[in-house]
Amino acid sequence: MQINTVYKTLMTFVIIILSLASASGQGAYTVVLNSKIKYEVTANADVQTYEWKVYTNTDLDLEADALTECSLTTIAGEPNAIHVEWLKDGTYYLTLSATGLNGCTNKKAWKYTVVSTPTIVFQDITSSDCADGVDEFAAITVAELSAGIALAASQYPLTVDYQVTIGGTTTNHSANVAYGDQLLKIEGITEDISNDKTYTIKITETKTKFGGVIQLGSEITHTRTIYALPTMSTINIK
Amino acid sequence: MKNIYKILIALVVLVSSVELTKAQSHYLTPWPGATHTYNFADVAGGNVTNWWVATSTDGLTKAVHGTDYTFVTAGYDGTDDRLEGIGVASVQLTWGASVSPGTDYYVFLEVKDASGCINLKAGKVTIVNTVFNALALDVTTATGNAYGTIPSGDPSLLASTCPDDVVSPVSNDGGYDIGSTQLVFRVERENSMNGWQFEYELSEDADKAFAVTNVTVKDPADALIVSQDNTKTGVVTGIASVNNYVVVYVTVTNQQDVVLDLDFDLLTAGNNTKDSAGAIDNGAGADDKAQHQIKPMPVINGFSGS
Repeated sequence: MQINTVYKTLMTFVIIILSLASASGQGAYTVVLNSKIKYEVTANADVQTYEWKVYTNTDLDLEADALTECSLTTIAGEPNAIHVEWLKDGTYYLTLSATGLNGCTNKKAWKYTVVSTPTIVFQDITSSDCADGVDEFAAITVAELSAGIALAASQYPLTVDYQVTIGGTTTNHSANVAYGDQLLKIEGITEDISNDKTYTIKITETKTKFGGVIQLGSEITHTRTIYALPTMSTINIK
Repeated sequence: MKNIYKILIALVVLVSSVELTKAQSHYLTPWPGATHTYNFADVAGGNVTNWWVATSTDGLTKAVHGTDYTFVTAGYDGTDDRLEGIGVASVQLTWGASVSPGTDYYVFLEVKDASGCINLKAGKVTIVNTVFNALALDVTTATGNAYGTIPSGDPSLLASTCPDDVVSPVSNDGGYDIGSTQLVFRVERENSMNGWQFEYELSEDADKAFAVTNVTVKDPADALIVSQDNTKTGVVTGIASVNNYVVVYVTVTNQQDVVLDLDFDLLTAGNNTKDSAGAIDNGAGADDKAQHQIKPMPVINGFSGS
């Protein structure tokens, strides 16, 4: 029994460690589809030419298609930097060849994984409050790289577009969500102390800091109910 | 009598079969271990010819075949201790590897015609000291078999080159390999026909750090002599007597932004650079050192995305 317990404990640790490794594995080298990112290395006065390329294989001889897979844009005055727009899921190798004034060449490459799996949902799909004179409200969102793995901090802040609907009237809004609190601040809600009101909040689009598109999950609609205050007779003081 | 005189034997004429470039072994002053051809002109084709080597001028005290010398040309008869044939005007022989410098030998030819008349003549040969010398050359920018044909100081050989390519440039998947650069040196021997060996050391002029992952030594026919991993010094033994040079391939790990002035030195202090007769490299100094500069690979660092 004791041995079994020890094994179970060890297995638990292993699972935790694997989970942590997996979660940290996305790092800065996992890119959300449609991200446009500026990459750069430290400028080196000894370098005459920088050549940036993106390949699709480890041999670094199959270039990514510029129209369908990966688009590179040079930056005037910054040959040591490049804009890369990731257009298709997959594994890519961003490669830099730097040739010095002495004619010698160095080469480095960085492996990137482009994914379209990240999703965003509301943590809770309903909430309520009393009309208390404070219109401000924020709902907690959950953005994941994949099931159970949080989206990396490097992808934040997220830009979330949403609609607020009440009584057939819909207004469009946008707000940023920070990595720390995951709060989506909701605008367009007005309290009414006399009548119950139910607002429907629906996320319509979410993008990462780099413009990567976050898929909308199944729970992207949040219902917010503001209850009217109980009626009271006028107090007459004589 | 006239017939005898008709069978004139002219003086020995040249011939040397070895191919060294400097201070060659000469047929009249050969090095221990050298192979030469000896011939006499005007030997009539049908006459009996007998060759031997003697240590006395009268030819009666014969040198020891197999020790002092060995006939390369076929026809040696052990019973008579001489090379016997008909009209053999030229023979090739190899002097013993251990014959002492300064010793005189006499290469004898006896010719007997059909009438039974005999003429006898000899050439004096003096063994000389070899003053074995080894030297090192940088042939990194030579290619292929040209390693063996490039003369010393060939101006077409570049003294400095860029590092070879990065092998695996992907730096974030655990497989990064900056690669290595292969330098090629040629080690030659001079003034000896014996087997030989050498001791080497690799160093950097300013004592900069560098790593040597492999040193491989091959003979002129590209056959492996020795391969040594992760060492900057070594003794390469057992180089066959037929090899006037060997090619040394040195694999140096690449570095970013570092100029490496690498020296390949033949060491003499330990008396490990010598021929099989024990003749130590004359240690002339300058010719024991070959140099090659690996130019700096430009730095790529500080990678970031935003």
